[in-house]
Amino acid sequence: GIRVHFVGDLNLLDESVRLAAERATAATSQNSRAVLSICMAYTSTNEIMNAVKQACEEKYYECKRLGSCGTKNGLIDYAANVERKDNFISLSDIERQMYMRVAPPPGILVRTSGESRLSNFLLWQSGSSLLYSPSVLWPEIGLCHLVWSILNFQRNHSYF
Amino acid sequence: TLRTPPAAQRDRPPRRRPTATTGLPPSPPLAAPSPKLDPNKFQIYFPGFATDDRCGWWIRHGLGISWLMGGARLMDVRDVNEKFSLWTAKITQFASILLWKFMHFLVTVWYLMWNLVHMLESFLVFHGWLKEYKSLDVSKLRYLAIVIESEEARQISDVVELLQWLAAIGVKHVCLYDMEGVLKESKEEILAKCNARPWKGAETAKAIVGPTLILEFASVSDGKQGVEKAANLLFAQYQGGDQDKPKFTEALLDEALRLVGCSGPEPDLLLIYGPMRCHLGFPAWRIRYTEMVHMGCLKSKKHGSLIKAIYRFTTVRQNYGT
Repeated sequence: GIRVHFVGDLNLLDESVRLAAERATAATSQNSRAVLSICMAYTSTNEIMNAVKQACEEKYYECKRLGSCGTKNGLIDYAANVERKDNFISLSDIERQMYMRVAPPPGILVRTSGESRLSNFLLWQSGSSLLYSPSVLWPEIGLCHLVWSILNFQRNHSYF
Repeated sequence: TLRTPPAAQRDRPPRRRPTATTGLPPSPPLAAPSPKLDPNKFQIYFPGFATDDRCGWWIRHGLGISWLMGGARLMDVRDVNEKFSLWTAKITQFASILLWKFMHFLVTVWYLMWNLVHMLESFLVFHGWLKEYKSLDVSKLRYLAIVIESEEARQISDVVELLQWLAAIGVKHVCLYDMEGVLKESKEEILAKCNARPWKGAETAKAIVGPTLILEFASVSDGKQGVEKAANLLFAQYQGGDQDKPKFTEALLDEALRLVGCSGPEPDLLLIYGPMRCHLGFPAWRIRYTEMVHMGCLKSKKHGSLIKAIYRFTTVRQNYGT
């Protein structure tokens, strides 16, 4: 079966839609044949902002917990060494809070209708992705477009 | 102590005594049953040759020896099947690789033909033979970004030539980006050769006037690592204010990026010079609605292609939600 993830700020959705999405996610959690991620109430800038917010909160409560254990002058000083003194939050802390942490960065990003912009979609994750913009509209996209995009992807990678 | 009887005596069947009921000598032992054949193995059985038949023994072994001398030998069906499967898999793999190579050969031929047509079109555009490209309105293009692959970015002369073409077209504000920061290292040389000035960071669109080209230099450290710096700045504020914690919004993160020096205006158009249409990690915060055009490799850049890309941008219509 296919495992389904719903990605985005689901709190913005209507209650019935959000519950249906959670039920679908739970029902397909054991499937392993393929993974389908559906982005709803999603923009990339909101994803980055939310990830920074969650990372800050996580690090704040971690420091508070360490401080309450009486290790404020021990572990925190050890963790915040000279090199990381200004970097309590690392890049991995931010990426761990991203909505799209459930999937790896895409190899090919397809935008139909011939438009060549990303429109605030997967800006963080598409740094090394092939951007493919066929002029065909979404319902008419077919196997030949997929094969062409894969052939273009393979041209930039070494095989055999 | 018991003595072991000699071998000849051990092999002889035991003497049978007459049965008590009939008084007749026991019936001779039944002929040895024919050996059970294993269906999983291909075995040759010669019927009619009993094991105790000396003539049959010689005939059977004689045939076997002649068979060996003929080159044939006893084989298992399972070994034959395994070898057949192995050969089939190898042939299938070879055929698949051959088909893959042939498909990519066709794609390469198609791109060669496309490049020839593209070269001809660029020539016609540059020399003004195509009327639609004559009237180029660059006022819509306020900010242009150029992404160059780091290996090609080392060719500073090509970069300078490209910037001179852009200045001739009328573009005022350009951001140069490469992943490894090669262009940042050659910043002074590029500014001197292009008679350009660096972007000051806090300039508005109204402040960018005059014929001088304004250049901004960016690398991967201004992208994800810039967000990391901004996150640490916000964390310091979050940790310090127990009563009044900051409310996280996109505007707040934008301000934090500006304070750490990793912010800038959003480019209207992004030209990609490299082998693949990929923005190579350009700061994600700034390319929400940026049009991205792949221009091919930097060494094969064409003036006509540049004009065509900018013209096509001026005809794009973007729809924004309410």
